[in-house]
Amino acid sequence: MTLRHARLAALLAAAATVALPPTLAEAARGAGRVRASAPTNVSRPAARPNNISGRTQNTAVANRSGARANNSGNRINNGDVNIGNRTNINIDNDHRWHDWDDDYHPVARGVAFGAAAAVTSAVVGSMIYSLPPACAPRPYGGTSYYYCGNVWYAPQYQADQVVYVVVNPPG
Amino acid sequence: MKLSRFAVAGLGLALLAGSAATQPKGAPDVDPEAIQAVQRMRAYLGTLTAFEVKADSTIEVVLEDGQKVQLEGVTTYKVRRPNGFVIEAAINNKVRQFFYDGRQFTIFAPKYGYYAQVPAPQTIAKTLDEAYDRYGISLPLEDLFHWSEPGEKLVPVTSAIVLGDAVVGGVDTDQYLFRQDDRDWQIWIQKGDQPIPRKLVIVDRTDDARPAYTARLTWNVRPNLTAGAFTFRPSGDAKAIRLSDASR
Repeated sequence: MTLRHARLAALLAAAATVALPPTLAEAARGAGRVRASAPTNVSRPAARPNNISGRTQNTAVANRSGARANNSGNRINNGDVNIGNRTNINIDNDHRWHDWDDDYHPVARGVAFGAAAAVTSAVVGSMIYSLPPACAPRPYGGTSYYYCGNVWYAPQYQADQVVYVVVNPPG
Repeated sequence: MKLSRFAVAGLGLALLAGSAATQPKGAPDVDPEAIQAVQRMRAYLGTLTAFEVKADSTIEVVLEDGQKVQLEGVTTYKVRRPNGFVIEAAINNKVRQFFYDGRQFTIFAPKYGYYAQVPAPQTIAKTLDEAYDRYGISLPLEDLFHWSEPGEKLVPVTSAIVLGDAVVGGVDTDQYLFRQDDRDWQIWIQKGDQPIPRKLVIVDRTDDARPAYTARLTWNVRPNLTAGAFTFRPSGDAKAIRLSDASR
């Protein structure tokens, strides 16, 4: 089984319990979970107190509404879809493809899509790596926002990664 | 020449004083000649007021089941010491540009048109520290900057070996092996009076699959860089966004 097939299979298996947007299947790229990646320098100590992954995780934990129970590597079942009003649009805290890929994994998009479709509110401060489909730019006061599914998103850099943070409606 | 950053516990004053004829007790795996080669490289890099480097790199990542994947990348560095750089890192389809002009640090993603800009300290070294500590940004091969800063702290090595002659891309080099904390690394340093690093391999020993980062370096030690090259100038459709700050 090729890597791509394995990833796709894992994805599709994981996807069985949720309604996925059709774009997911074609966007299997980068969906495999990464457990390690090579360091790119020898000057920083190995232990990274401000590791961005840790920070991201903390942020997500702080904003978590208790719905996510996933450590299995199966990000589709993050618990963030189909959970009524307690959705926490979830950032994936595992070792990350999005560190290396601008196309992100489609899972986050799927989660966001499901979440946006299923619920009426998202937790302010939670983040996603890519916007739900048809999320339109809605600049306000010189600042970039996106608005869709009754949720406002503001793009920001999390380290060198562009993420979209759920924010209160501007103005 | 200061050894502070590379000093190994037990390496001793003999080496610091430059008489490294005898191998110090307690560091049986550290060949002083390997340490000195790095010191010589650092001293040379420290003499450069500006340089350009292109790094053709491969980063290995390990999937959950242990399968390794290689990601190809090219990173270019344009550097004006001590207070300017433009770096473009392209790995797979992800491209980021980093600008530092002595006043501002900017990160830009051309594909999105998003940039974030923050005030920066007065030197490259301090700016890199702040980027790392405060914003979680670690630039690939940051070592190039740390090495060229005299007095910059490096992680101590526990093993240093001279492997000797090797040719990298047609250039005569010496190859050295080092081990530190949870990383093994190799460096190929050009022979002669311009001891620049030509290749670097860094291996993560914390994972059984031992993912490695490999970079081959092409140098221009006399670049023609204008002062304005280091200042980010957003195009008309570029949009400023926030850079998440861990200290807040």
